[in-house]
Amino acid sequence: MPKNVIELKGVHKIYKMGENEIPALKDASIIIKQGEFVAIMGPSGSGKSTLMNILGLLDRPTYGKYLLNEERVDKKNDKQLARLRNQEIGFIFQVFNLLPRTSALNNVMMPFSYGKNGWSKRKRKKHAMKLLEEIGLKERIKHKPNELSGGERQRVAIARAIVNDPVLILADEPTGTLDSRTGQEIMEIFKKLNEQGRTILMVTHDENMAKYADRIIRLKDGKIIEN
Amino acid sequence: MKMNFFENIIIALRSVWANKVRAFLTMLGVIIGVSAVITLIAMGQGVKSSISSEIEAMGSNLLIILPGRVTLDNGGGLGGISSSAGISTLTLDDKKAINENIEGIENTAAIMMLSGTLKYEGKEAFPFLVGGEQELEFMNLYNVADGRFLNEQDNIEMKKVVVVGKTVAADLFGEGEDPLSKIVVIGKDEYEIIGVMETESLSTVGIDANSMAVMPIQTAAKAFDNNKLHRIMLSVSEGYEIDERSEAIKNFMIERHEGVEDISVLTQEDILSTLDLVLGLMTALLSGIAAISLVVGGIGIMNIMLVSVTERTKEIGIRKAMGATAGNILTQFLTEAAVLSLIGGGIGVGLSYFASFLLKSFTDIAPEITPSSILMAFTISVLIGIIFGVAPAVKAARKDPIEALRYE
Repeated sequence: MPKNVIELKGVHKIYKMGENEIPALKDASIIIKQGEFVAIMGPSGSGKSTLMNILGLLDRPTYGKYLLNEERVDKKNDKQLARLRNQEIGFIFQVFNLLPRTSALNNVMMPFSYGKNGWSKRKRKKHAMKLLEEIGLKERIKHKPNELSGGERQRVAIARAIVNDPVLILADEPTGTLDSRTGQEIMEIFKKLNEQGRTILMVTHDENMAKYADRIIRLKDGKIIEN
Repeated sequence: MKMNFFENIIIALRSVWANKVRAFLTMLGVIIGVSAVITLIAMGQGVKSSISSEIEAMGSNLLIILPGRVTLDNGGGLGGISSSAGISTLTLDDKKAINENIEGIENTAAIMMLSGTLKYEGKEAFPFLVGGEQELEFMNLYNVADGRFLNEQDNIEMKKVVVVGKTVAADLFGEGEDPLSKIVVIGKDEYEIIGVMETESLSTVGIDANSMAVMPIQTAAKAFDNNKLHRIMLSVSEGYEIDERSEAIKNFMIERHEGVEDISVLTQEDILSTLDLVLGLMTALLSGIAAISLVVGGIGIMNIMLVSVTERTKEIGIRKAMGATAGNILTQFLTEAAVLSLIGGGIGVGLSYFASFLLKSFTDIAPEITPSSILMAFTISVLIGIIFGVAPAVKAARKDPIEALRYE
């Protein structure tokens, strides 16, 4: 039986705006097993971003438990969270979020700067190049983001997300700014990564993209309405 | 989780390179500050070594007796205020007595400072006018370019003759006009010019042979009705301890002046250390003023780093999402500020070499850039970068990753 990559138990997130308390996430409980490909859907303001921020360890729940890779993480300090983000989570964003003026290769290698996997610089470079090659960017490793197409940029971002071999890939509307054909290509890559055994959690608006997922979690008004 | 030091440097250089013009303008304050500090220190050093070598050329066996009590910390030296302005109690008889009573003295030369101008056919020169003796030659202060220096006979016969420096000669006579044998008026009397002297070194000792005029001391004593001396220069014979002779002369003089210590005896070492003190203070003062621009430069760096942090909010968000800790971000921006200011320091050092070259080519000052001043400049630039980089770097490190990622 595959282990739980994510286990969320009764997680609430409440934002304070002066005197008012605004609940963004109410009693969310989710289990995602290793090797699953899950889509999170819901209208804007439904709490998707809040959920992604908590799952991505960029934010902490107000209360509730969060186990990532069977380890309790909701009480960890900033430094520990940074380390977990570096080692266990691969982020993919709607707007790619590559570093400008930095080559595709250096972008992919960037997470190495903040981890200590004990690899030599040469080995890191070799590994990053291999990932870029597998994703079809062999000819583009020296290119800067502004010299790449949207689809190519997102592929660089995917290579960056998996460079430290994380347990979880978090994708936030990864095809949101791409045309539908390029979007399909990106989803094919996701499918392939999933087939290799990677756990993927993807926020999307697009039912066509959600079809690639094994399972859909729907949110509305901060509550999970379908799991 | 320590980020590689060199990686930070590379990131910093890349970021500086991406904003070349802005970075250069930011560095200007540091560039100007560093080059000003180094150049001023180099000038101080240059002046010091030229004067030092001049003093050393007089020989390490030199002793100088000054009227008045001169201590090393009141700016004594040769041009000290108390020694030239006060009423002197030093006389030609004192000099004679020293020659007769103190052993181990090789040469003695008395100097009487006079005030007066030299007039020739409607032209006037304002030299440093002294009464002197032939023995002054031992101090190697000048070369006789033309004619001769004073001799014993001039003094014995109280001849109305004068030896002038080349600057003085140039003031009185046109080009091609031979100063020798010309008659000049000093006070009410007429004097014949018997020699022209010159010196190549820039003298700040207070005795610059180029702008001096020397008449026989006996002539001066009579013409100016004065028997007070302002300097007695002595050289100690070989085999005698200089400090011990200095002490002996001092004690002898105090005894002669009925127990009043109204003279000072300085050795070459005393003069050099006074010089050190005075020039050191002056250099420190000037470079302190120049250092203000370093602070201004630091503020410039802080300003541009704050702008840079805001501009790169997104980058900070990305880096944090990828696992950068607050410490990593802090180090990155501190490194960038330090690199910025270090490059500024480097350009400043280059500029100070250029400034020294110009000074050397167009003035009498030969600045000497010392390795220690370069080291100091680099240390100060890095420190300025770090000190003024702290605020922006803290601002960067504190950014919330979620907010930062949302920043457009």
